[in-house]
Amino acid sequence: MKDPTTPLSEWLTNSRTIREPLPNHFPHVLERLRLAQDLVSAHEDEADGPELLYRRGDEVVRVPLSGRVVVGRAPECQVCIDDNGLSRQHFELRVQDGGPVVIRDLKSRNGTYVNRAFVLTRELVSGDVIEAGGLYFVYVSPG
Amino acid sequence: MDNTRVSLLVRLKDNPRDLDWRDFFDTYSGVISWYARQKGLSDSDAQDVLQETMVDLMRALPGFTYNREKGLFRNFLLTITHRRTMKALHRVRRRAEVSMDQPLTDDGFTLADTLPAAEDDAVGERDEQAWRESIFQQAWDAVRKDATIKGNTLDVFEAYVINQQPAAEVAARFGLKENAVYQIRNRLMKRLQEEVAMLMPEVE
Repeated sequence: MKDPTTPLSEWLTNSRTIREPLPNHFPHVLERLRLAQDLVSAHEDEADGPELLYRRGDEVVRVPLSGRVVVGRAPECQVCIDDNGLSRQHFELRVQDGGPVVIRDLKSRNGTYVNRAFVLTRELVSGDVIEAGGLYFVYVSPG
Repeated sequence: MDNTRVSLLVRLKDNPRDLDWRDFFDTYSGVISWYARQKGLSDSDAQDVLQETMVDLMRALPGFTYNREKGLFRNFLLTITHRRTMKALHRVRRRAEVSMDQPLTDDGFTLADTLPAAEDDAVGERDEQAWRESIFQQAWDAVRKDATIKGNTLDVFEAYVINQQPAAEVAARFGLKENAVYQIRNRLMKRLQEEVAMLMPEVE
C-alpha cells in the first residue's frame, strides 16, 4: 500500500536530514521581541532605511539613520533626550551604505547594553534592543 | 487554512497583543530557525534571522490580506524568512572577509571560502524543499518533546521507520508483538501529519 504521506515518510527515512533538536535560544529572542513589539507595532509603514525607535511619553519616535547619529543629553546630539540616566554623548550609531549599522558606546557613565549584554561596539541586526540610562531603543532595518 | 491559524492571524492583524505574538512565535520559531540552519547558518546567526523575521512580520501582518492575489500565508512567511536568511549569509560572508581574509593555505584558501554562499533573494525550488524539510524537522521535534508519548514508543518508531529495520526484529528487541510495531508507526505518523498540517496552513 502506498503511504499517503510520502514526502514525510521519505524525509523520515532519510536519516541524514534528522538532526538533534535546536538549542533553546527562543526565550531570549522572545524577550527582545516583547520589548520591541510595543515600538515596532506603533507604525505600520516600513521605512526605506534603518531606523532607531524609542518612546517619548505616549509617542513612539522614529529616527531615520544615516551617517553618524549620536544619542545623548547634549543639545548637539542628533538624538537629544533630556534624561538624567544618559551621558551627554552616550552612544553612536554609524551607518555605511548598504553595509552594517554599528553601535559604539561613547564612554558613557552608565554603559550601553544590547539585548542585555554590555557593549563597547557591535554590529546591530533588526529587532535588537538597546538599553541606555534606563531608556529602551529598538533598532529596525527593512527586510 | 486551519481555523486556529486563521484566527491567530486575524487577531494579530486586528489587535497584535503580546499573547498572540507568543502563540505565533511558539508555532513558527522552530521552522524559521530550521530554515536558516538548512541554509548553512550557525545557531547564533539563525537566532538573528528569527528575530529579524519576527520584527518584519510585526510590521507586515497588519497589512497582510488573506486572499489568493496576495499569496498563501506559507509563501508569505517563506519569502520573508528567505530574504532575511540571505541577508544573514551576506553578513556572515562580509564579516569573514573583513576579519578572516588571511590565507589558511599556500594556495590562498581563506576561512571565508568555507562559508555557505549567499543565494538569490528570489525563492526557488530548492528553497521550497528546504522549507518543507524545516517544517518536517519542526514537526519531528514537537513529537519528540511530547511528554504524552510513553515508554519505548519513540525508540520503536525510530528503529522501524527511520532506520528501516524489519518489523519482526524491532518487535523482538522491544518485547512487542509485530502488530504493535505497526500500530506505533501508524499512531506517530498520524501525529506527525497533524503537526505538519498545523505548520502548513493554506489560505482558502
